[in-house]
Amino acid sequence: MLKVCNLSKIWKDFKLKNVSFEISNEYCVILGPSGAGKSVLIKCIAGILKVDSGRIILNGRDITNLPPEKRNVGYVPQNYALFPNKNAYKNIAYGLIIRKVDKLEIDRKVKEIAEFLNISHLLDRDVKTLSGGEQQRVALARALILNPSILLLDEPTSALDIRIKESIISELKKIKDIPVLHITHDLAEARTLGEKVGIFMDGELIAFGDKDILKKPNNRKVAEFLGFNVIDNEAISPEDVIIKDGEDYEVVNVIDYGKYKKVFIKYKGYIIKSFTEMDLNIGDRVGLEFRNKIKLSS
Amino acid sequence: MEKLDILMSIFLIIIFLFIFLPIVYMLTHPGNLGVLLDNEVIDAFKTTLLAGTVATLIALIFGIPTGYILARYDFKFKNFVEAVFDLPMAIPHSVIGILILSFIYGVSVIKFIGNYVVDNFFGIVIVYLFVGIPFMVNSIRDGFLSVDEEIEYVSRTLGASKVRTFFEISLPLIRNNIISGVILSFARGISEVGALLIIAYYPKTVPVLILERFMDFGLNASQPISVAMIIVSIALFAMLRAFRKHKVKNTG
Repeated sequence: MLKVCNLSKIWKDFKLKNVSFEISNEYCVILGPSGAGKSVLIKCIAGILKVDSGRIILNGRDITNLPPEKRNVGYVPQNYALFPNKNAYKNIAYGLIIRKVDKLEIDRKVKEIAEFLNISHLLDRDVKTLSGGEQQRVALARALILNPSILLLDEPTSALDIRIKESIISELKKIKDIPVLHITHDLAEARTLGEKVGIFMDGELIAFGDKDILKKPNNRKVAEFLGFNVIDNEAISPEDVIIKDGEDYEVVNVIDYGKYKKVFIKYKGYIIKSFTEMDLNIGDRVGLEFRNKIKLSS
Repeated sequence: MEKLDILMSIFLIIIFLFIFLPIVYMLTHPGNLGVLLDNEVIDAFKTTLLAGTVATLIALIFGIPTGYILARYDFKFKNFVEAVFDLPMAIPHSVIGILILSFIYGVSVIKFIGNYVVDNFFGIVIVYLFVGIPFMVNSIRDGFLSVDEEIEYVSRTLGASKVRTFFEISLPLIRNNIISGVILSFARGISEVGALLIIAYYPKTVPVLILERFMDFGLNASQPISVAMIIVSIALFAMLRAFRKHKVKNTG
């Protein structure tokens, strides 16, 4: 269980302002735009950065001032940071070697975790020759093999192409029984993986809770980040914009996803996003109806 | 190839030959190589290589922590500190001699050091260290800069202390930078003449001996030793290039 209380930190151009949240053995995704300071949060929990104020409690133990090597956290940075001079096996085994674990035991554990993450065939490989997705799995194995009290994932899929991304997500779904803190700017990842979800903007955790918070933005900034249409003081999810026959509004752009299209429609000076299976093209005229509107605070 | 490229290639060829031809000529006309068996010559080689080795070891011992701090931390006056480390490359060689000597004789507390430095083996070591340290510091700093800090962070979270991470993860990763720092500072050291003429003419190093033979006996007398020195230099740089190539292969 991880408990973060009133955490503040200023580092380079980033800052955390009074961040508090709590997660138990669940998969928590913290969502925020790039440059919001999400990595700083993870680095504070890992002990890489010292906090300016606040407390971090892991499994009832105050780890705020412990060095990283005494925290027992699994950390997978955005670029995986594999040791380039060790092969995949030695990368994964490194933490156990430090703990002076018996050689046979190391061998057994490495093989077990490799099988769990489908990288058994890569163990002898030079990590510099691995693809992004393979490197990601090795980095995950290296962290998980130590049975960490929490797994910290910094944008784990941002450097991967879409197909690999999906397979890593299904790998991540298999991780059970330990808290996972996963930070990302990708809404789909938050929806797919998050048992708990947080929204992080400008150094603040502005919303935290179950997945429903993704459907209920409370202010304009969050609404825009989550992809809502913001009209005056109301947010409307693109799914709640119903396109009907009519002549009132003009389609100004269309992105074709195959089964459905994302259309951009000019509406009273705003550009509104909506999804439809109708065959619409730029210049077509349509009617609109809003199914559900959410009042925004500011 | 386009005309402009052909024209530019001609420039390349001319300037290449400007350096290459004299070296080839020298190597093919070494003169009386028997001179190399002179005791004086052999002693000069011993002195040069030993002083080079000692100075390089000292440079290495100081260069590794210095390079690490310069690569990992920002501090006030860091630019100034880095510029100072580069200075020995820019100061004329004879001036370096005057500089060191003035300092030793000028500051009364350390005046006694003069006895161990002037016309002494340790004087050579000090000069070599002074002129060679920029290459060591820069090479090692660049090495640490190229090691992703995330790698060190991960090592820490895996249970390795800061000391262990430094020796087991970071240092092995900059092996090639250490080697090139060693070769460059060694090569820079043993080629020094100007400062030695002022601080430690004796015991004679090879370049000083070459100069002396030239002054006393002329070109023919200095040629064979020069050839030997060229071969030492070429060997050093061949090693350097071999390691650099190795590095490119590793990271590519």
